Amino acid sequence: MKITYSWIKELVDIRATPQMLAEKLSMAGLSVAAFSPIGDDWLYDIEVTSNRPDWLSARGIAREVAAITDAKFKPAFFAETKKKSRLLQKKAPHKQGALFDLSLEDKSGCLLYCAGLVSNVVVGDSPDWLKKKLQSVGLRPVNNVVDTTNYLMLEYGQPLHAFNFDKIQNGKVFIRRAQPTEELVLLDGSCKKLSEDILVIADTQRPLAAAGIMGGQDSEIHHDTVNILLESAYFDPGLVRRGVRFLGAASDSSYRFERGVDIQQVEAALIRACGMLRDMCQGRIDAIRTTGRFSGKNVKKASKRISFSLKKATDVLGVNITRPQARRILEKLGFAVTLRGKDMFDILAPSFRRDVAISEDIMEEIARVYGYDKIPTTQVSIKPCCALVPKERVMKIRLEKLLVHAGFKEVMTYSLTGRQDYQKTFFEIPPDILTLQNPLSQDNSMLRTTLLPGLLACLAFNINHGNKNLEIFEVARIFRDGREIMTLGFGISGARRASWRGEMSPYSLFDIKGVLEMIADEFEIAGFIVEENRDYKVFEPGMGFWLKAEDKLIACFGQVSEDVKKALDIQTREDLFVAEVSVEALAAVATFKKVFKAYALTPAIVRDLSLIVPRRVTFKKISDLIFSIAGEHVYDVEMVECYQGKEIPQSSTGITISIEYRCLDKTLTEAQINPVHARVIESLRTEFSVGSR
Amino acid sequence: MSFDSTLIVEEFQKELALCCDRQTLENLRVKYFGRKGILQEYMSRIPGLPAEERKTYGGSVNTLKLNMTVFFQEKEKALQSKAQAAAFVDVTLPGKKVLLGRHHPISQVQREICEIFQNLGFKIFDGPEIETEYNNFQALNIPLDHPSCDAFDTFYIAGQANPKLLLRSHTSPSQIRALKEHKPPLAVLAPGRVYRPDAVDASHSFMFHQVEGFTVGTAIRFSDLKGVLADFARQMFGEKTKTRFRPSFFPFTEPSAEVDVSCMICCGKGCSVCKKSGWLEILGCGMIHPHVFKSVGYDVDLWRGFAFGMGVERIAMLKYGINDIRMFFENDIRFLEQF
Repeated sequence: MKITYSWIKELVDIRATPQMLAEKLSMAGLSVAAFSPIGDDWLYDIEVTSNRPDWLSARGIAREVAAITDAKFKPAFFAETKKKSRLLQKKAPHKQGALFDLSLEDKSGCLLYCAGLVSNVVVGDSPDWLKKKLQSVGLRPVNNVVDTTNYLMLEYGQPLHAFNFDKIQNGKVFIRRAQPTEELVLLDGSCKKLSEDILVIADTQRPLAAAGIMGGQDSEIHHDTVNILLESAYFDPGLVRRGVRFLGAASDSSYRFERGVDIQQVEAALIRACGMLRDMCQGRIDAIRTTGRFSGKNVKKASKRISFSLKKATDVLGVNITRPQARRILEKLGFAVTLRGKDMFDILAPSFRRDVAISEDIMEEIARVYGYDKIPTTQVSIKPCCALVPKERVMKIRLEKLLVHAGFKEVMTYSLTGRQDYQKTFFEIPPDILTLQNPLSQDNSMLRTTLLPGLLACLAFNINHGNKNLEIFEVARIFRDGREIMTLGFGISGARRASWRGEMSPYSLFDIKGVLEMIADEFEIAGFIVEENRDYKVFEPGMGFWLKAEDKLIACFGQVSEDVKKALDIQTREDLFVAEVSVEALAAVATFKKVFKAYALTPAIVRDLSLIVPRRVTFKKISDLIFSIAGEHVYDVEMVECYQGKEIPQSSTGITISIEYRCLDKTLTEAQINPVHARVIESLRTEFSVGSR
Repeated sequence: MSFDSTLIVEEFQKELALCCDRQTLENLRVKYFGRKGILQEYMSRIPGLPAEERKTYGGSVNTLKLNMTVFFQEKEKALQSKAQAAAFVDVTLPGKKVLLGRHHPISQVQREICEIFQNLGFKIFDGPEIETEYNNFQALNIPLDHPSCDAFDTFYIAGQANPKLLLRSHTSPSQIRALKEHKPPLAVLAPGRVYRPDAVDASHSFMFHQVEGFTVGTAIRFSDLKGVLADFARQMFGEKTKTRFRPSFFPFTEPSAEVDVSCMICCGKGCSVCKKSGWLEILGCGMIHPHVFKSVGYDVDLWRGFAFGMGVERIAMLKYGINDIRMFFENDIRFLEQF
């Protein structure tokens, strides 16, 4: 809501400077989002919260300013009473044939409907004062009729609508629900199909306007319009809101009706508008009619009585506010206060405060005007509940730390994904994938079931921006089988940091496997096995794997296929490796307790062994054999080197392993180990036809 | 048994003179003084000698060793000072880059926020990202037919009718879950991802993070809320940070307030970040609305509490001077490595 300092000043005696007023407004809940000089005036842009439609008007703001600055709200300086209304009608020469009828068919959809007929108007430019006023708050003047309705909407917060009366068949106005078969061309030119949920203003033939939302093009005011029917009403906020949604059309009017207008101002604004049209357009007021449940009623009596305890309020707020203080604040804001007993108040909210319904609302009103800044700051005594940290969160935090320690950068990718992300990474879209009913775009229309496409996109983005060496991870939820599953994904590409000293170590499958082993070590998951993963086409054939423990799938990992690199347009020849770990599955087999394990203080005897091994004989087979032969003497078997070269036959691999013989409680001698080691060599030779070099 | 020590020393000195660096000197040391070196060889002859010769023989080998050691040490020193004089290390060359992992700036800020409140006794609670419409709206006093709903545009999950499911548009539904799962009094912190169908631009993202906190007891006051949040602001943004509470509106709190902190960039003097106001809006809060307590079956005459919520991205942007929210989700390594 935009308003100028001078406009407020017209309605209330302000002593505060424009700057001081901006501060006061903000501190009272009328948040000033922008504040700037225009000419010799100041413009405030106030963010009005949805509970305060009364602040969508100059009068509403002025009334608030009067309350918070203890100034006087100038009494209504135009007559807007029933008496005045009658006077206006009496003066109007009763002309037959130019009269109209109101028929209100939906009494709960429209609590009050007022209309005034002004005839023989001359549509033209507005007077300068009006143009200037509209321009000061950023509105473009159109003509004296439209400007009048806009001006009064800003002044009273009451939207008005002007119909070209000559377009209304037989002068019969119906306020009714639309038929599903009906259509209406709105002022903005769009043709809308209507429904029974839309309240319309109609004549005997067709709808003329979507009530409270937008007028129809056909009954629009033009420069040659002569007779005008002005409308002012209270439409049901929920009905207007549903209508706005159904039609996909909104306006400054619907914005106010949705939030609720002040029913007491409905007629006053209309009378004022008729008067202005009479004075500015040389029109004649022929008739003013009202209908509806609230026609001629005192609205105050209809509002709910709120029982309020000042003691409870001051206790909750942590302040001392006296009874007279509280009463004064409430009365300045327009509440009717009756004291009941020593502490209790009976309170009636004014018609423009539909938001105030319970005693907590009253508490806020008092606190707000008293000043939030005057409420002290106190120390709260918090009683911690014994809610345990969920296992999933413990895992998440430990995994994040572990990966960061290992040199990985944490990334955050969107949980929303699209068909394309799956296609480019050759993942099948699960048939039960969750999709959005109202996505922003197809690219973000589904809830992801894997972290890998997001991670790959992230690798692609970085590589194509010149960041070649990457170690990234993310721990986030994926959405699968109707559940949210905490998942870890990580990826590497390029080399472990090269420097000017030339130590370059390109990443391989064993780097990504190393990270998985690090995780397995951290959570003491013994006996995991690795199997080939032929299901995921994201991996290069033969280079994708599953990691299982206790028969559960824990992770998948592998080298990203060349096809995926092409599909994602990743501009690098270097290999990419990714892995995805189910934190849930990991938690099921993890050990969280760390227990001290004794390590050997005795010296070891280390024997290196260079072998030529047939291709299919795996390291695991060799090390298993060594452990079974050497038994308790062997402490560790390590891979030292693995190579192929001229001197190695094509179907074989040259390996060097290092066997560490050690006994935890006594020193082994060469004499003890030599025969053991000889047996190891002999077994390797007979079992696998392994040759030594 | 005897040997010509003069000859050995001469030969040794000749070779010593030829040594020009540490490596050749080391080779010489091994040759003469090593385990299988020349001196050791002479020594190893001792056990084979007649007993009466052993002492004299041993003595002369030792003398020889002592003499040679003196020469050797002199040479070692000479080489050392020569090397020192010639030494030059271009220390302007860059050190080898350490491979350092990093937490995402959003994680870091979220953790920082959580730690401050955890130290005050708040416990972490994780709510789901897929929520029921009821928990996201009605339970929190946000009627679907009301304009207050406009502030929470929401992604709905397709084909889910009973109950209607959505991606939570704020972390406040965690209040409903935590209050139902645990017994008061309690103090809970609920961090997490939230979603709103906002078109992505420099200040909007359809996915972002919030931290929600709330406490329920029998004597919680609005002044306590002010105290807790003023404490938080000082710890988060610095000792001298001031806080300002402005009346506001949230359907699930009454009274409600918006909290500003003095601008950490200009210290309240006014700059472009705080739009010359000296204040930055960082969170919303208030006393928990009776409707919320009724939703979870609490006695509204007995229990009361306060709640607050803040956007992690906004705080991170202010803290680090980042002016485009998209950078958090672009994950450029050059961005991530800075925090």
